[in-house]
Amino acid sequence: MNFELSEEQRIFRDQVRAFAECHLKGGALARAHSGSYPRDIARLMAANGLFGIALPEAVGGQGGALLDSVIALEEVSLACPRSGDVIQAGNFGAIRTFAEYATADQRQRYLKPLLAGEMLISVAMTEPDAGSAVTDLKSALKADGEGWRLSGSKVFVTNSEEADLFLVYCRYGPGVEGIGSVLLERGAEGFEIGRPSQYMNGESWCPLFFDGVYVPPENVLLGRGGFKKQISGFNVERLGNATRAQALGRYCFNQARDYALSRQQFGRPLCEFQGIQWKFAEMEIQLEAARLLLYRAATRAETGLPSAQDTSIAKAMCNLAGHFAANESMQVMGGMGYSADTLVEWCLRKTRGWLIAGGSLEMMKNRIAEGIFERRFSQRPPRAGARAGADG
Amino acid sequence: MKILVPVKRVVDFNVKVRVKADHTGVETANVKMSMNPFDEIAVEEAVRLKEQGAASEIVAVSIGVAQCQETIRTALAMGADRGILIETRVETQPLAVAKLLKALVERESPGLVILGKQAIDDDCNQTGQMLAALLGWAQGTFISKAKIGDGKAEVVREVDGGLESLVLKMPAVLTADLRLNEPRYASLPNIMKAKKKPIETLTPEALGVDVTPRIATLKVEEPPKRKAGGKVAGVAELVDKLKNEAKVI
Repeated sequence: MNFELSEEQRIFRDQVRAFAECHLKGGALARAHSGSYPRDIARLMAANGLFGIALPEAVGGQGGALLDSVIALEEVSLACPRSGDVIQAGNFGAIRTFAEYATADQRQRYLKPLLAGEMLISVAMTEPDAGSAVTDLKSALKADGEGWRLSGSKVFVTNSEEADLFLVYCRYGPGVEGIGSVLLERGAEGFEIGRPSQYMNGESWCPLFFDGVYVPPENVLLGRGGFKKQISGFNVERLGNATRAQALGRYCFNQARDYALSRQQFGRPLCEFQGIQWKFAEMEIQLEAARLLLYRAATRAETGLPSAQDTSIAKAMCNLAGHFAANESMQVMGGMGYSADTLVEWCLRKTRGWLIAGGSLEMMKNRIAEGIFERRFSQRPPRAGARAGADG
Repeated sequence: MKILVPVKRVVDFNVKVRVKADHTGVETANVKMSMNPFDEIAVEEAVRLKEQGAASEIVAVSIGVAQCQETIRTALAMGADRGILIETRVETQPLAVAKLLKALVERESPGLVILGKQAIDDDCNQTGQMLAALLGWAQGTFISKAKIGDGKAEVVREVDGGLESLVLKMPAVLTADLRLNEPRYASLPNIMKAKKKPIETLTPEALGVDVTPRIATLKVEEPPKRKAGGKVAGVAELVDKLKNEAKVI
């Protein structure tokens, strides 16, 4: 077993690091505090080959493996935590599911501007009555001539205030088998983007309302029975979430380490207190373990989609480790960590969100348990005459 | 025309260097190493000349331990066509490097050698000049602009107090200054393509060059820590101190 990156991976990491140190590190604080999606950074990254890293060159990607995108996301997040979200959008988010299942025509229309950082795509999944129980979603399509009419609503859609294109999970009919997805452009008739609310991390989200929005047949991404495929694509998104959680924890750790080396109290630097040393040792153990699980999940996927089990384990561990490290780093840095003069408090708020978003910690544990027992465990209350595990 | 670009593996510019406990040098074990930044500029210039059609092949060469292959690979990812590693564990000093490069020039017959003006580890700033002298070639050092014409190179040099424009007879040795260009980041597809580009490994012995160091390093020490400055209450005190303590006015 080899725990070293290959020579190519090391060179790529060094190139991304040099890019991030030069172009992203400087404005990190302002970028995180602004709340809006940094389109200028998206274009800059796209121009430097940091979008579509794991997509084939034939469709405009960089022809790398999933681990290459993980490496890029880590390096960028370590220099500028907010810019990590841009790498996410250009590699791990809806763009990945879209690229995997889009028709040639859809790729032709959307993939080029997406990979150039000119267009932003969001995934609309959660609904007021369908969160962790995502298969309860109600947004539905009704046949209308060649195409469809979409009605329903969505909540908690990342980048919804700014996205140009939405990958909307919706149903063609009842049950898990009835679920698929369509592509909606901002501004489509009957598609209303509601007033923005704010998350704890400063980002906004808007409710989406679909009032009989016409979906032409060429904008259907996945038809009936598409749910499992979508969730396979979503596992990449989860690894991006895991990567950022782990990297932001490491970012805080690095800040706290510098602080502990220079900050003097009671006549000695903080790093000379054993209570502080043990905090760092515990953070290091958690962050290193998280990173190994993350790299394993990404490496096993190679250029394809990662497995649900690997992803769930990596996401749970990275989310916990990242949040733990951010919290402990803040404690080490005291008032300076709590102040918005550094990004430690921002990272703490951000990593808190990842214990919820992209599949909550509890749902990840459910999935891991199913892998352990090789059984499906339905979370639904038992119904008379129904066998447990019959649906989602 | 072929261009030879030497690239040196040095401690990364972001690393805070530490002196070895025995004071024989600086610590390089478990320290991040990268291509000398001025050499990156040299590689970039060569790649641009090739893109403009002024060059047909770029050969990147590095001298040192086996890990220098990664530095060559980075140059290949940026656009060089093939690499040569002169493998040695001896600490090669500027004259030895210049002699090795001369031997390579005689073997490869490039029309141009572009080097970084100096390496950020020892800051010697000697190799380019020595190489030009050994070859009897024209040299343009600290260049911030280069235009390659028919049998001549027009360069702008950054000298004390201004810019100096020169026309050099080719073949020539150029050394790159900071403002010559902004090097590109190697893209992932180019990094993967670089894997397939050939790297030849040679030794100083095979090139018939004696690389035994001529200069012995006696001791390496950290610079003394700067002491905190004093504060003055006002202009009068400052003037007084400048006059009577520092004796500069």
